[in-house]
Amino acid sequence: MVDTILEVDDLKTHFFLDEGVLKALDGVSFHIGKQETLGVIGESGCGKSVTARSILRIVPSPGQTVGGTAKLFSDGGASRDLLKLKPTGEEIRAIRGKEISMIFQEPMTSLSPVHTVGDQIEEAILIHKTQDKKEAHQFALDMLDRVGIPNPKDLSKAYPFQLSGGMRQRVMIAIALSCNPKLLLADEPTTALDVTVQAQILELMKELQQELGMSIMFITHDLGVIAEVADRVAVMYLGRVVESAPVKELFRNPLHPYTVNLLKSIPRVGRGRGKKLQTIQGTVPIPINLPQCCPFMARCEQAMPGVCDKAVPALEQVAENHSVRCYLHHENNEVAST
Amino acid sequence: MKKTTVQNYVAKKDVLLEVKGLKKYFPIEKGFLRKVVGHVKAVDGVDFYIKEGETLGLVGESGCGKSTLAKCVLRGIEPTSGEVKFRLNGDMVDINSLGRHELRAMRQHMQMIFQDPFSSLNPRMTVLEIVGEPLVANKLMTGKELNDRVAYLMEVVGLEAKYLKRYPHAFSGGQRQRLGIARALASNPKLIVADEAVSALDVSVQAQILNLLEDLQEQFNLTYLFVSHDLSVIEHLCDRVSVMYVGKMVELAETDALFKSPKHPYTEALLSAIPTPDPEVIMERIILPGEIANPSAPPSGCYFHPRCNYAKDICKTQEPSWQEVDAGHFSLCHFAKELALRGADIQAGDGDAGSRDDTLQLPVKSDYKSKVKT
Repeated sequence: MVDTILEVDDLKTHFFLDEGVLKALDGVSFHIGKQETLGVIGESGCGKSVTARSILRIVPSPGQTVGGTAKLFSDGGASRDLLKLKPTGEEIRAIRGKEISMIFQEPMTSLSPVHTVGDQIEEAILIHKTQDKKEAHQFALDMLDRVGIPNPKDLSKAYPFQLSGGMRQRVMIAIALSCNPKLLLADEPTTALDVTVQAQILELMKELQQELGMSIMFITHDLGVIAEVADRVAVMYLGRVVESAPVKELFRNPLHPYTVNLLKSIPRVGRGRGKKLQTIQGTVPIPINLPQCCPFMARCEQAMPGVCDKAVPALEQVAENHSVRCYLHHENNEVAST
Repeated sequence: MKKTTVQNYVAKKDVLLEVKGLKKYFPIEKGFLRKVVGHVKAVDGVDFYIKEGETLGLVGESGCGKSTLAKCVLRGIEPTSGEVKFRLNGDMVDINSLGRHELRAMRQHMQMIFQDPFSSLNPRMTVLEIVGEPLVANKLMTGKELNDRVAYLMEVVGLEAKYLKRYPHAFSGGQRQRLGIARALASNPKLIVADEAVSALDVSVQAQILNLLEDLQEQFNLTYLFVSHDLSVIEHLCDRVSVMYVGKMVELAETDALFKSPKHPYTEALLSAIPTPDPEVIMERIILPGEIANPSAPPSGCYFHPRCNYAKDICKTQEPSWQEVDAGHFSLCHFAKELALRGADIQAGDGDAGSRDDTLQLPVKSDYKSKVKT
């Protein structure tokens, strides 16, 4: 197995609301290898984005990370637990943007409207790399050039509203990659873009990954994009990873009923018209005061009364590199039923 | 000449909606006196028709004018010029020539489903008021009759009738979209324009709504104009598809023909950009250089020529004409007949986890029961 760069174990982030405790993340575990792309997929509200934010310790209030570990390994093999660091402390700020950086979904709202594009790239460089403004400026121009922005000199003086969506996302990528991070958290980086622009951006990210040798955690709800970019996939449902496998294995041999149905519910080019899409009954519940049973049980066609409603199934390895959180595939589910 | 071919192809009596030379230019105003300095040509001379009971897909990237076109069809926004004819009781009525009251009465027969289920429902109205509004506005029903009709509509779209007195905030995204559909169905329309009706929904909910739209079409003999940017959704739902680029229709054909043998380079690039949900298919992707043209200052000649791999000199100077390449297959390209373009990789059942049902069969429930007992 490849060397690990990030290992997240039993991550729990809860939001303390008036209505009760919303368990956005309730025991998320995964790891990302060096130069690997981990795809994280799930529907809205499953905790994909909160996972990325928890790792960087930028969970918005009233959210709090209440448990678990997130170990970031350095080249020497030493590790730091990001969750132990103070969210406003020096240490995590040295990591943000330098070792781990993030691309957000909406390039319009995540760029500052009152600073030029060039200034926004320089900001990160000045914090982490150099104090020399001229050098930083030159570096910013190089970055813009690298992400395929034509005429970087002029465009570095432009404000975000003057750029198109695709260009803005390129700027976001330039900012994120300006300090050669080891790990890039990409939260739905292409969701707001058109397909032809999406193709451009995915191509660019692949190129840059090879060039810079970084690891990527790619969050999306689009199974087509996942199939394209990911090496390994983690499927999330209601704040937990329910299945994790290498991408080919997951698409060829999905085990969790949620994954199976998700794969069947997308319309595909070439499947032909008129055939009904398979749907998943019901909707995703709000994770407040959920009973201690399999979270997918209410929507699952294979739910086994007396087994699935007893306890939350564990994420168990069922084949090499293939883990699933479902009693249907656990060896010893008879133990649970007795 | 091109218009006669359109007419020849269609048996007139089937056509529900016919659009000819539709244009919508938005003026660009500048300065204190709001002098008009130019126009954004959002829709720039579009011809098409929809037959009764058919679904026409309208696909294109953001800014290509597909939503403007959809709204112009209903005269939600006033078109600059052109004809929109709608068949009512056997006569083709030009919607653009109707007066205010006539138009209002006409709208019973043509309704719209909106993209965003959160902003398209008034948060201060109950479900009964929202879904019943088209009926009240057209003075079709009141009182108990209205109540019963709305309750019936709720059941038709898969919601429980007991929620009539609730407000939209109590519903999830998918349920709200169902409410939007119920409202569109209320006055028994013939044509429904769905503008990105499933784009804001999660995949599992999207599948539910797509199935619902298909069921309703069968049940009520509806005709859809389905606007979307998602080609796989379009392919799933539509009988015919038209592709728009910078205010113009660049291709129009039956769904299979368009996906298997596109006749416009833009369609080819668009098809190749669809991410395939299968890691074992390696796509040869056409990455278009540059960006979508500015509709207020489009390029000369063919609007697509700066990004087109096949562009020749003629494309820079001369605007292509809308020509019928095969029967019912139209393209706006000088070389539509000569080019051999690649369609979407369609190999039925191959490389497609969802269709490979034999390998994907979930073990039957009883297997597990026996497993549990042992």
